[in-house]
Amino acid sequence: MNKYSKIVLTAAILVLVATGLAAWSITDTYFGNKQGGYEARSFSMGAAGTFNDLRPFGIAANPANLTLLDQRLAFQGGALITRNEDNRHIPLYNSFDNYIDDAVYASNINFFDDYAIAGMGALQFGAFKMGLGIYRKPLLDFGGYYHEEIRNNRNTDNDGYPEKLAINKIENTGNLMQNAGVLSFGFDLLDCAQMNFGAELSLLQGKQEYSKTIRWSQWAIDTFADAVNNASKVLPNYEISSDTELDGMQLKAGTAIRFNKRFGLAATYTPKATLDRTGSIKEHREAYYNADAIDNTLTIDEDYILPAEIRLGILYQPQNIMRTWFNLDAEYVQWSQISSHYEDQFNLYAGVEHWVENRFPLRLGFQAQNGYLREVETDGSVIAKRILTPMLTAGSSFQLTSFLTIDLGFGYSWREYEAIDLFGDAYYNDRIYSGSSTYALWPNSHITLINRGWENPDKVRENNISLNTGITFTW
Amino acid sequence: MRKLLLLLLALFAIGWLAAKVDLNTAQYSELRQLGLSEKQARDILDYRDYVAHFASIYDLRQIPSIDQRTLLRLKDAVVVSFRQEIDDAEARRQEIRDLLERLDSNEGASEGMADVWEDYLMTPQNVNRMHFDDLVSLPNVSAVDAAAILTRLARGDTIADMRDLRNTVGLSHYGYTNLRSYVYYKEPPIKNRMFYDAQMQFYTRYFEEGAHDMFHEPFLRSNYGNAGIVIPHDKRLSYWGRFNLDQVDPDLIYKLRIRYGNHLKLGFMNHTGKAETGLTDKTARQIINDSKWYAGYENEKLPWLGNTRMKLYLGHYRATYGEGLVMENTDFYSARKTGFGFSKRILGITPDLSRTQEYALRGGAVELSHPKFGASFWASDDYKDAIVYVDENGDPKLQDGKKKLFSYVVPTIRFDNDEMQLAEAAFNTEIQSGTTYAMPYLNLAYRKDAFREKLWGTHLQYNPFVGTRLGFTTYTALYDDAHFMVPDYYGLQSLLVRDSYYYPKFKMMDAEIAGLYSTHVDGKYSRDYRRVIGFDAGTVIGNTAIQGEYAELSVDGSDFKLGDDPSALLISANTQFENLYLIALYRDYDIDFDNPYSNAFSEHERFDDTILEKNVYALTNPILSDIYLGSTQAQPEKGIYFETRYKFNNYFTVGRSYLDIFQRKTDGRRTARFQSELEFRPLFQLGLRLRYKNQVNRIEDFADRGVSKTNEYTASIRTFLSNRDFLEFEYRYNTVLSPPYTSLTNPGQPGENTMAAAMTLMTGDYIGVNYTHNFNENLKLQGSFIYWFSHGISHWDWEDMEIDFMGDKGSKAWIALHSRISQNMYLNLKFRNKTYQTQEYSIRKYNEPVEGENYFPRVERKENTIRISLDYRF
Repeated sequence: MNKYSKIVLTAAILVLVATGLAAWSITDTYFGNKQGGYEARSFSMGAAGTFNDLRPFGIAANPANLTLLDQRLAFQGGALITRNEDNRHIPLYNSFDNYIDDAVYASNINFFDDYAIAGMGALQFGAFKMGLGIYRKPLLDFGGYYHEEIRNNRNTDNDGYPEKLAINKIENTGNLMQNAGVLSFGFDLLDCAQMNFGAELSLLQGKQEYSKTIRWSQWAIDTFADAVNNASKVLPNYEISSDTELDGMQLKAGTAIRFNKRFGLAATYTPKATLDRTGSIKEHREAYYNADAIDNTLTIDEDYILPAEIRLGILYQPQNIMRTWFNLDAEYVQWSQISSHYEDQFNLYAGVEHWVENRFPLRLGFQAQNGYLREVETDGSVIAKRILTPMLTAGSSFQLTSFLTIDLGFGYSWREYEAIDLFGDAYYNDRIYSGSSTYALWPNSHITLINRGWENPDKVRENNISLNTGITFTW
Repeated sequence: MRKLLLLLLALFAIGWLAAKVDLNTAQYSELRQLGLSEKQARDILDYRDYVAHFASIYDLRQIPSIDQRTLLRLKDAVVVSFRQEIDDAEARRQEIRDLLERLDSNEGASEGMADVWEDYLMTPQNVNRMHFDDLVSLPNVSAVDAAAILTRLARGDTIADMRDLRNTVGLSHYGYTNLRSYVYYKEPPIKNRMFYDAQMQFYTRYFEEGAHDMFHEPFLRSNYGNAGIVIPHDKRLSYWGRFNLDQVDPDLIYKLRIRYGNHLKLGFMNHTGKAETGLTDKTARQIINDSKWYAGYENEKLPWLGNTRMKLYLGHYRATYGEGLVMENTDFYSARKTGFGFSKRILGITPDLSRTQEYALRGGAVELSHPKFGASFWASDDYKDAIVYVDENGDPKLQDGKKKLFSYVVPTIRFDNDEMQLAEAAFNTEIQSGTTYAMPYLNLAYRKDAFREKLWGTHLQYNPFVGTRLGFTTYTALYDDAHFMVPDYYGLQSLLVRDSYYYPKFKMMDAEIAGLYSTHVDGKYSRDYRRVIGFDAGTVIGNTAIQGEYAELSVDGSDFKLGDDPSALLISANTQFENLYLIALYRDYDIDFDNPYSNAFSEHERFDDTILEKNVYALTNPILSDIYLGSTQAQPEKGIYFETRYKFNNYFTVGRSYLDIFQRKTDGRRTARFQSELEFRPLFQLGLRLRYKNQVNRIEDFADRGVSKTNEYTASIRTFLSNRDFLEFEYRYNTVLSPPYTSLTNPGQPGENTMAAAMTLMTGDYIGVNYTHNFNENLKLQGSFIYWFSHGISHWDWEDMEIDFMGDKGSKAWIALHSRISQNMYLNLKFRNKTYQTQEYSIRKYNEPVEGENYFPRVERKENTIRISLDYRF
C-alpha cells in the first residue's frame, strides 16, 4: 500500500466511523433538526460561514462563496454524528400542593448520523471568474426515538422494581434531502478586493415517517386477564403512524464581497419555499370492553412551509501572532410566514480560528439558534413555543497532503423547555377496559390517572454532543 | 583621499544592502526571484499580512513551508527592516492591557465604574492639574496619597515623570503603582482623537436561590383542613410556571461608547434581561425608555478661572458624593464598601451606561470644580418601577387622585404591566376559590414605570486646605402622580401577610419595612416629595485621613434643623504606612432613614432577615420579595469596623483582615465578624495561604433564633508558573452552630421531633482547583473545578467575573476563554456547568404535624450557563 493509499484510507475511515444508529430529537418531529451546513471547519466556528473562502462546502451556506474560493476544482465530503440526550421531568408538588421542582421520569440517549457531499469547479478569465457547483445534503432530519416505560407503584417500599405495565415508543425516521446546483460569478476589483454573486436552485425531496405506539406488557395482559376473568375484555394496544413525502424547490441568492485583505462581507437571501406534503396518517386501537376498534386513515395533502431567511456575515482577518479568522453571522428567519402562531427570530453565529504556533488551528465558536416546538392540541389548534438552543463548538484540522485536508468539529448544545406529556396517563386506567370499579394493575387505588395538560407540562432538558468530520480534496 | 575611500565604502555598503530583499516590504515577484516556490512566497506574504512583520530572518522558521535549508540559503539574501503598524492608541492599549483586563473582570462588582476608569487609562489626566476628588476616585489611591501629591504641587513643584512621581513624599507604594497608569506628566500619550467602544454580550443564566423560590411560590386556594376543597396541582399558579421560566432565555447587552479624547462623549446601552420583552417586540419609544444613553462635554481648562474643570451631561449619568449616604445612584449592592482600596466610589458626575435602571438618573447634570471649590447641579425626569397598591382587578388604588405606592423596587425581571395584570387575574381567581384568606387577592403588585420621578439635587464643596473639604449635598425627588404610603408596624402585618394564620411570622425585624418612607401619613402630613440633606467633610493629617458624612431624610421635622428627622452617620479614618494600612469606620443608620439613592457601607442590605427574605410564602404576593432581593440600601445598623493589611517581609503577609462589631437596629441583634488571612511565600512562585472567618450573631432574648456561630477555615496553595500561568488548590471547611432548622430534626418533618434539639452543628467542606493558562499574549484559558458538600451551609465562590453561591452538595466546572482577535477586538467565552442537589423542603405549619409526604430530600439541578462577549475598541 503506497503512501497516498494509506492517507485516503485513513480519511475514509475517519468519515465512515460516523456510521451509527439513525435517531434524533423527538422535539423536531415536524420541523426537523436543521443542520445549516456539513462543513466541519465552519461548524467548529459556530457555523458562522456566510463568508467562507476556504472550503467547498461553503457554497451551501452562500452560493457566492463558490467564486470566492481560490480553487479551480474541489470536493468535500462531510459526516455528522450527534448524540442526543432527552430527559423529561414531571412537576413535583409537596404536601402543601406547592410546585417545588421537577423530577426525571424518562431519559433517552440516541445517536444519529447524516452525510453530505459537495463539488465545485471554477474558471478565471482575467478579472472575471465563473463557477459551477453541486451539493447534496440533508436540509432537515426528522429522525427521533423515544422509549418510556409505564410502571405501577408496587414493591417500591421494599426496594423492588414495580411491575412494567406498558411500553411507549416513538420512532421517527426520514429527512429532507437538498440537491442543489450553484452558479456564481466573481469580479476582481483591486488588489485583494473582489465581488461575487451567486445563485442556487435546490430540489427538496424527503420522507417523514412517524410512529407512536403503546404496547401493554405481558405481565399487564396476564394480570388483567386473571382479574377480570373474561376473555372478551382485553387491554388494547394503540398505534398512530404517519407516512408523508415532501417535495419542492428552493432558491437562494448570495453575495460575498472582499473589501481588502482583512475584511469580507457576505449576505444571503433564501425566499420562502412551499413544499408539498402528501401522505397519510393511520390510527389503530384494538377493541375493548364496550368500545369498538379504531382504524382510521387520514390523507394528508398540505403545504409545508420553509420560512424565508436573510443572513449577513462578516469575515475579519487581523494581524495576529496566531493567524486568525473571525466570522460573525446574524440570521433573520421569517417564521411568521408559516402562520400567526410564530414570530420572526434572530439567530447568532460567531467563531474564531487561531493558528497556535502558526501550525495547529484551534477553532472555537458559539451559536444561538431559535426554533419552534409545534404542538397540536386535542381540539386541533396549534401551539408554537419558541426554543432557544445555545451551542458551543470547537475543532481543528490537519492536512494530510497538499490536496487533502481533514477537518474535525465538536459541538455541545442544550435546550430547556416545556412540553405536553407525550403519553397521557388516562390511557393506563385499566378500569376503562374492565368496566370494574377497582384497578387490576394499580395497587394504589388512590392514584389519579388523568392526562396532564399545560397546567402541568413536562420540563424537557436536552443536550446534544455532535462530531462533524469533513474531508476536502482540492486541485 | 581618506574621505573618498570612506564614501566609496559607504556607497558599496548601501549598494550591498540595497541588493538584499527586505522581507517586510518584498513583493511576490521579488520573493520568487530568491528561488522560493510559489507556495513559499505566498506563505511569506501571508505571514506578513496576517501574523506579524518579521522581527528577524529567523521568524521565517515559523512558516511551515520554510525549512532550515531554505532559511540558510536565504540568510545572506534577505534583510529585515523595522516595522510597526500600530498607532499610538493601539500602543497605549497594549501598554495597559493587564489593567484593562483586571477592570473588565471586576465589572460585575463595580457596575459601570470600569468604563470611567478605562477611559482614564486610555486618555490619562495630567497629574499636575488633577484635583483631590479626581485622585481619590482612582482605584487604590487614598486620600493621603492625593494630599501628598497636591501638597507637593501647591508648593510650586511640578511632577515631571513617573520616577518623579515615585519620589513624592507621602505617596504610598500602592498608591503610586496604581496611579501611574492613570496620569501623564507633560504630554499626553495619545493626542485627542475619536475612540469607539462597541460591546455585545449574550448571557444565559439561572436565578439565584432567593429569586428561584420567589417565582416558584404558588398562589393556591386555602382549604383550612376542609377535605372537600381540592387544591389543584397547576404549575401555572406560580410566576415560574406562568412565565415559563424553565426556558433558556438569554440576557442581551448592546453597548456603544464614542468619545473625542476626554472632551466629548456619547454612549448608548440596551440590556434585555431573561424573560423580558425583546427589542424586536418593542416600539422605538419603549426601546429608548428602557435603554441608557448620554451625551457629555468635559473641559479641563476653563478659560475664566485657573485650573477649573467643567462636566456637562445630558441623558443618563451617575452622581456620587461623600460616603454615599445622600447620593450614590446604583441598583447594585456591595457589602463592606469602605471607599478604600479597590472598593471605591467615583466622586462627582460621571456618564452612566451601567445596568442600573431603577435608580438611574436621566436628565441633565453640570459640575464645576476648582481646587478650592466645587459645585454640581443635576436634574432628572424618569419613570420608575414600584410596588403599587392594586385592587381586585389589578388597577392601581388611589390616594387623593394619585397612585398609591408602597416602595421603589429593583425587580429581578422587568415584566410588562399587561402581562402582570393577566397573571394576577389568574392568581386572584385561584386564591378566591377556597376558604377566604385574610387578604383574598393580590393587594400589592409590581408595576414597570409605575410613577414619574422628577429629581433635582446639588452638591457644593469648599476645600480650604489641601486634602480638607467640606461638602453639602441635597436632593429632592418630586412625585406628581403618586403617594408613597406605608402603614405602621401593626398595619403592615395585615397588608403584607396573606393569611392571618401566618401573622406570627411577622417579627420585630419587619419594623425595617415599616421604616419605608411615606409621603402621606393620615392626620400627620402630606406632601409630594422626598428630600435628603447631608454634609460631608474630610481632612488629611500626616499619614491619616479622616472623613465622614451625615445625612437626614426630611420627614416631619424641619429641613433646616439637624437631629429632628431620621438620619445616617458614617465616619472613617485610615492610616497608611509603607507596608501597613489601618481603617476604622463607624456607622449609625436610623431605621426610618429610607433613602433609595444611598449606597453606604454595611454588612447587609436592607430587609435582610425580614419576612421579605425569610417567609416569602406568607406574603400576599411573593414578588414583594424583590424589595429585599434588589435592595441597594444599607441595613439600619450601628457598629465599628476595623481593617488592616500588613506585609511583614517578602515571605509573610497578613492579607486583608477585618473585624466588624455591629448591632442591627431593628431587633438589636449583635454580630461580631472577623476575617483574617496569612500568606507565606517561601518562593516568589509559591504562595501558601490560610484564611479564617468567624461570625457570631447573638440576640439575648427569647426570640426563636438566639445565637449562631459560624467558622470558616480555608487553606490554599497558589503557584505562579511561567508565562503568567497560575494554578491554585483550595480547601475550605465550615461549621455553623445554630438553632435547628426543622429539616435537621429527627425525623425530618415539622412537629415530629422525637428528641429535644436545642442547637444544631452543621459542617460542610469544599475543594477546588483553579487554573489559568496563557497560550500566548492573545489567548488565555481559565478554568475551575469545585466539589462541595454542605449540610444547610451556603458556600461561595468567586468566579472570573462574578460571585456564585452554592448550597448542599454538588460540583461545578467552568471554563473561560479570552481571545484577543486583533489589537482592538476581544472575544470572551465562558461556559459553566453546575450540577447539584438541593433539599426541597417548604415549611408551612411550623411545629404542627402535617399529613402526607412533605420531604423531598434530594432534587438534582443541572445548570448550563454560557456567556459570550465581543468587544471592539478602536
